[in-house]
Amino acid sequence: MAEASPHPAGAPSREPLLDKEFLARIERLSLLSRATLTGRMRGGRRSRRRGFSTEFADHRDYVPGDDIRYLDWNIYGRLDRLFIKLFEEEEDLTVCILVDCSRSMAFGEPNKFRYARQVAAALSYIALGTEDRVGIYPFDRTMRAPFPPVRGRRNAMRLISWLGDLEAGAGTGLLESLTSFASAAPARGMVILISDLLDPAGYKDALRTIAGRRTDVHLIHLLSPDEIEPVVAGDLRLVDAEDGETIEVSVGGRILEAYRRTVDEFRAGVQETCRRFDIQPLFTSTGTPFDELVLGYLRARQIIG
Amino acid sequence: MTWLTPSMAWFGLLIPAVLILWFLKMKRRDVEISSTLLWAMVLDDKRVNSPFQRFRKSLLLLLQLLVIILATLALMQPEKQGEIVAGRVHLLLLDVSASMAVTEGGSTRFDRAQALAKQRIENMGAGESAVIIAFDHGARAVTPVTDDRGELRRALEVLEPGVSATRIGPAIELAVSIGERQNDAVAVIYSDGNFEAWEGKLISLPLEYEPVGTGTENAGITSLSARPELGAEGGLRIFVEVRNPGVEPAAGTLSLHLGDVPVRVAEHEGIEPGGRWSHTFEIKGDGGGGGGDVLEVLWEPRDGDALAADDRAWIVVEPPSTVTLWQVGPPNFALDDALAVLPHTHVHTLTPEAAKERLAARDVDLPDLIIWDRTAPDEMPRGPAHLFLGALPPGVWDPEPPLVERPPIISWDQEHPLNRFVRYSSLDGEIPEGWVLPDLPHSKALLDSRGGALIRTFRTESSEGIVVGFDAMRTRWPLQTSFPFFLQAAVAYLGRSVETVEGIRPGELIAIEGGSGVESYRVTDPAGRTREIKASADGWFRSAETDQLGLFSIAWHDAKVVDETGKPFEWARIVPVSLLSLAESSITPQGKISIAGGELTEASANRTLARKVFWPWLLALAVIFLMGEWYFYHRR
Repeated sequence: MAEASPHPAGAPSREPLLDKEFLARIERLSLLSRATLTGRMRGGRRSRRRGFSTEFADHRDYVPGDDIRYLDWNIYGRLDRLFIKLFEEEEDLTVCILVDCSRSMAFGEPNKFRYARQVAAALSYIALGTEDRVGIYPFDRTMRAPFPPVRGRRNAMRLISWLGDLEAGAGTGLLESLTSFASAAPARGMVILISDLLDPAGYKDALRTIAGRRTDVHLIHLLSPDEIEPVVAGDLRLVDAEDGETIEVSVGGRILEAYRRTVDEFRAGVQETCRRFDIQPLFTSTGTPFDELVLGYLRARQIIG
Repeated sequence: MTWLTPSMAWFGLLIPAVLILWFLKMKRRDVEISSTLLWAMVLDDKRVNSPFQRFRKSLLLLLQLLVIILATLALMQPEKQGEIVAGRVHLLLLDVSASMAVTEGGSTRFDRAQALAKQRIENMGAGESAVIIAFDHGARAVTPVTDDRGELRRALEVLEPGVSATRIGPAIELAVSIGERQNDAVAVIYSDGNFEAWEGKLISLPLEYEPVGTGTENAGITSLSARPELGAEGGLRIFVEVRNPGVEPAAGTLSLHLGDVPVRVAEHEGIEPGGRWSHTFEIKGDGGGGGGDVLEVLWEPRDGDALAADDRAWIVVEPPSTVTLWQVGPPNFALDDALAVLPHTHVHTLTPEAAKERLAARDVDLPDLIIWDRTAPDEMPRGPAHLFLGALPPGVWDPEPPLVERPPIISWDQEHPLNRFVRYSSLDGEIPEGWVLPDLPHSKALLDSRGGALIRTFRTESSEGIVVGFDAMRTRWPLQTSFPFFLQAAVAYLGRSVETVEGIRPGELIAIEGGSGVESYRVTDPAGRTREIKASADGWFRSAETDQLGLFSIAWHDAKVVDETGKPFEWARIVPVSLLSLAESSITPQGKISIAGGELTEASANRTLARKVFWPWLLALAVIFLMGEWYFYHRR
């Protein structure tokens, strides 16, 4: 339970999200997308679009208007037909990081909201280092004002500082928020959702909205250790931090066992949903040290490399 | 399982009361959490959020319910049911008779009984109490009914076996009288079981029997008596019986002591198991037993035996005195001659009229014996003994016994001292006619004819004597030697020319009529302790404090009776106390005893010992659970 949260109201901490030592360790990392994606500018990332880079990709028939510099004269000599050499075009990647700023994120020890912002900051820093475009999209009941996509590491500190100033808000509106995001977000790119998905309205429809064939979507499902393994007992009245709903429960071993089973089933449901919508889930808790998550789990999952 | 107070089950209604209070009092702690989403999903599962689940999860409620259940059960007082329902008041009956002094394995049977009783006292639960009853020939409660274990232990420790025989009856009666005043009593008998079966009325008091003892070998004196020798030289015949109730032959020496001097010795090489040795010592007049003497019989088993109390017995021979007798009737030369040769006898011959006049006189000295020869008084005078020859005592038989002509003689009691030297066979068919004397209480036939007794002793409230129911002068009997022997025996028997005091059993009453002028008696017990005991209002001495083997000496004087110097005349009497009990000499412990028609065995004792009272344990558990509830409440 998050009753001991140092920032129950989601107030920003004065402590920087990332220290210099950690930044140095992720200097050379880059985000790995499962597919090459279309960007607005040529960046340091291969695109499925055939373009004009040095990496040969394929041939196609010549059509009038094609740049004759890419005609493959060797094939023309052998087959007497004109083919255009196609090269993989290096494009920039738009990375959209959605951060759940609902009040439920402001619980846990370590605090889930700070943990989420740290992850977002680290991923942003990595992406900006590879000339990818990074945008931060906070939400609670609805989408809040985003940090618009920027490129270049020169924007990294500004972005991190902006993240540090974020505050946890009210309740969770996953569907409304993500629907709003999907309508305005780039059609291609990488979407990373950091949330506890604790929305009474459910998470499935919300996840559906951000899933797409041309979007590489990742979910970092974040819970606190108290939420996974509650340390409570006795006759309790549980008060929902977001909407004030109460539940009376007499907690004993059997109840706790049922709770653990419910958490497992909840996570299994999320995983199944992600599988259906081609979303890459990562289940973690704030009990996992932040740097271990970034340098260990995310690299192992080939989200970064 | 039985419940002594099942009505206490109503106490169990506290259980629903506690459940109601539980629901009412349930206070929940507010805890703010990130989201109730997951908890709501948990509670959607009705299985884990049912009311019963709540109960299961509430250790405190569980403990509280357990406390109530256990307390309810304790109040209902469950007990394991046995064949005999034992109680909370233990009546501990300890046998302190002589046989309990038998030493086995370094300790006495009484030591073992003490240990068992002590164990019982130690095992008493809360609310239980006990009383200790010591019994031998009688019974006495040595403590009140108390739960003070210290008092019970102290009373137990001062008890020790005595020298008396055992009678279980008084102990049972005392236990019943105490037990009737208690709600739930049980009597436990600690004994070797060597006493006669008690056939009293059926009792409702539960009984247990704890037999003690293992040994079987013991032989002892069980009978001692003396009869004056009726021969011309006088003397005594002392009959001694030694019984061997053991399972091995018993050899030993029997000796007769006059004072401290052994005067007769006899040996037996082996009394058979279960058998007896009857031996007679004969002492002539000058050889001891002449009078005022104490004779001690001592049995010395060759291999020793377990009980010493039955190896000694005493008898006292009072000094012979001159018998004064009146011979009343017509002249009778045969009778005169026979009486003339009797020693220590002073005879006054009187006519019936003269006798009547003397008896009517107030200040006449009555004789020891009156011989009514073919005559009888109008009324039986009190005091003297009587010998009726050919006459009937007035008022003894009503109606008068029938006369039978020439009654045929059938038999006579040859064992009776009166018949020792008498042969009646010559009288068969020689008696012209005689009264056939019907049986009476305290009467014994000495000569039997076909129609009934012709010679018979009698005893009434005011007199005793012998009746010869035919006129001997009309037969040839006076001419035979048996006639003077009969007369001599009759005079000795009725005139008490030699009196033996065979004594009493331990615990029996000594009663002496000293006279109306006696104020006190001086009693010296066998241990040599002398006490002054006040006489009763009528001048009697009565005492049952005879729990010692040996000789009690009682001396007194009557202020109204003085000697020629004017001093009060001193009297003394010696009363021997001997065990003489076959039951006590039979030391083989009895596995079963008979009480009021029912049998108690060691096995039944075991069954009742298996009885358990559970309420203290239930109460203790309830207290433990209560403490646990308190602990968990504060820990939470």
